[in-house]
Amino acid sequence: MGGMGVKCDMCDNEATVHEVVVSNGERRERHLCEAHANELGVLPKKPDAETMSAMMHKMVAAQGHAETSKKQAIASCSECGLTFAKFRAEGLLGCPACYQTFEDRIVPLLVRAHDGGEQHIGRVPKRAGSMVERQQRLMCLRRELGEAVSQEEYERAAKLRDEIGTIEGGRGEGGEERDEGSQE
Amino acid sequence: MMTRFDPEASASWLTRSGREGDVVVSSRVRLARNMAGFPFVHRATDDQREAIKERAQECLMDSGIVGRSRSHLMWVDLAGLHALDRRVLLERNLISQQQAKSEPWRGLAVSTPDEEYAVMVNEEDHLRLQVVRPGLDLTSAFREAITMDDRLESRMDYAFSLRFGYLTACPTNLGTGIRVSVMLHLPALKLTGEMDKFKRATKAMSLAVRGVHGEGSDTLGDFCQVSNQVTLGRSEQDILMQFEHEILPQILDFERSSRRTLLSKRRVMLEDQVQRALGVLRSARIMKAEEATQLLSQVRLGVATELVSGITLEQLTYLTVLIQPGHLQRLVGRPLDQAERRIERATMLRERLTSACG
Repeated sequence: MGGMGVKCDMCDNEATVHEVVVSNGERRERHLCEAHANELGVLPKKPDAETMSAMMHKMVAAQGHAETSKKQAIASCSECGLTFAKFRAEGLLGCPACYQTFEDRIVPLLVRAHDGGEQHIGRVPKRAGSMVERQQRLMCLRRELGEAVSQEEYERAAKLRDEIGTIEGGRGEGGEERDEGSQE
Repeated sequence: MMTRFDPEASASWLTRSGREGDVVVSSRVRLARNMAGFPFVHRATDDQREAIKERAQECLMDSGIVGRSRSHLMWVDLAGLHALDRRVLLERNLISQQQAKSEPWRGLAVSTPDEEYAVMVNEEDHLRLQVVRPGLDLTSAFREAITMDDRLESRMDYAFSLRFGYLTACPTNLGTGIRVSVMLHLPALKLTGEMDKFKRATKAMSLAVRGVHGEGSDTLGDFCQVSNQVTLGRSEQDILMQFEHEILPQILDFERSSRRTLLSKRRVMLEDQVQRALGVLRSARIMKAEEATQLLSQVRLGVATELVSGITLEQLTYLTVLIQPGHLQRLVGRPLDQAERRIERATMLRERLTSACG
């Protein structure tokens, strides 16, 4: 993620975490150094630095982390009026926006129903743009990188790191874009 | 249009036996999709449902999926069909129980006469794209399903989020929205008392086991549908590969080794059961649908184990559909009450099984 020369929004250090949050059609960019990203809860709790090379940690940390939703428990969906109680009773959501409205309460159900799955991997509509596909590929590679590191397969990790570098090198201006609350 | 749903029409999975056809009757890949900008079907008003149907129909036509030639899918307004034709479509797994109701906003696009490609409109999700193939053929079914998906997507904005993937009414379909399933014939597992073990194993592998007509239906005549349950957090390819190359071979081995056990250790019992089934089917005068399904299942096992000849696996699959109430009434050409159906069913089976010999 380094080498782009973008400064942290909070200090003069180089920003290593770039985030674009799209919320209600509004796009908000953040560029943060690792310390501030940690402080703001954008990154996961720093793993034990002693057990992992600095390079690896940086790559894994760059996977990003879900912004813990600070939303209050919302009684009903503003788009379709469905209440969470009704969803619990019938098992069906009312509209696409319900997933955002009830995200906090739905994720634990998804994790149970999908064997731990809570982040989409797979096809994306072409109309959503190649950026989305690239982002997915990056997320996937970073997950593999994390696995490689935890299994101490450093040769595989180095290859994955190179591939990530190639994909990132191929992108245009701007930080890493992700949907609100996207998580690794 | 009605004549298109001729009970003798040649849906390919009913007229051809595919790879691993002794156990795998058919393969299906289904994609759940919803349009952005509308509530899900159950939460939409009738006007919105009508608008969803119109938009779906328009996009299906613009993208060249639906049209007037034989290479296109045919559009069917389900409410415009006779109840008996909807019943026929249900019995052939082209629509669900839910879709078989007569609401004007329910639609279907289907390829004829092979019935391999179908799009259900306003079922639980706005769109359910499905491809069905005879035998085990998930890879090509998947390829065809995503081709339809790509074409449709070029005209339509799907409800999609980077985190949750394709957004569906039920969170169990969320993510890829893909349901990969096979219809299996597992008579030997039942006869050897291994069915519970099979069900426990499928549960451990996160698979759903359902009856031939989907959710809530019974596993009649040892036929069942097995499908993936996880749709979020794993790619379509991953789901497909694991299902076809890791899971299914184990199920096929399990059923086939049970068949071998029956042939080597309980051969006379197996022969007796198969021959009795054939005997009853060829001589009964009154026949219930459940009984016929069970007997045809036993004869199918007889064909698969080469104890019965003169009839093919696909003819037997076809008969399990033809004996159902909708098909039977369309075949006879008039409405029949239950008692009449039992008589006509027995007659039809006697006539069609004359060539089979044990």
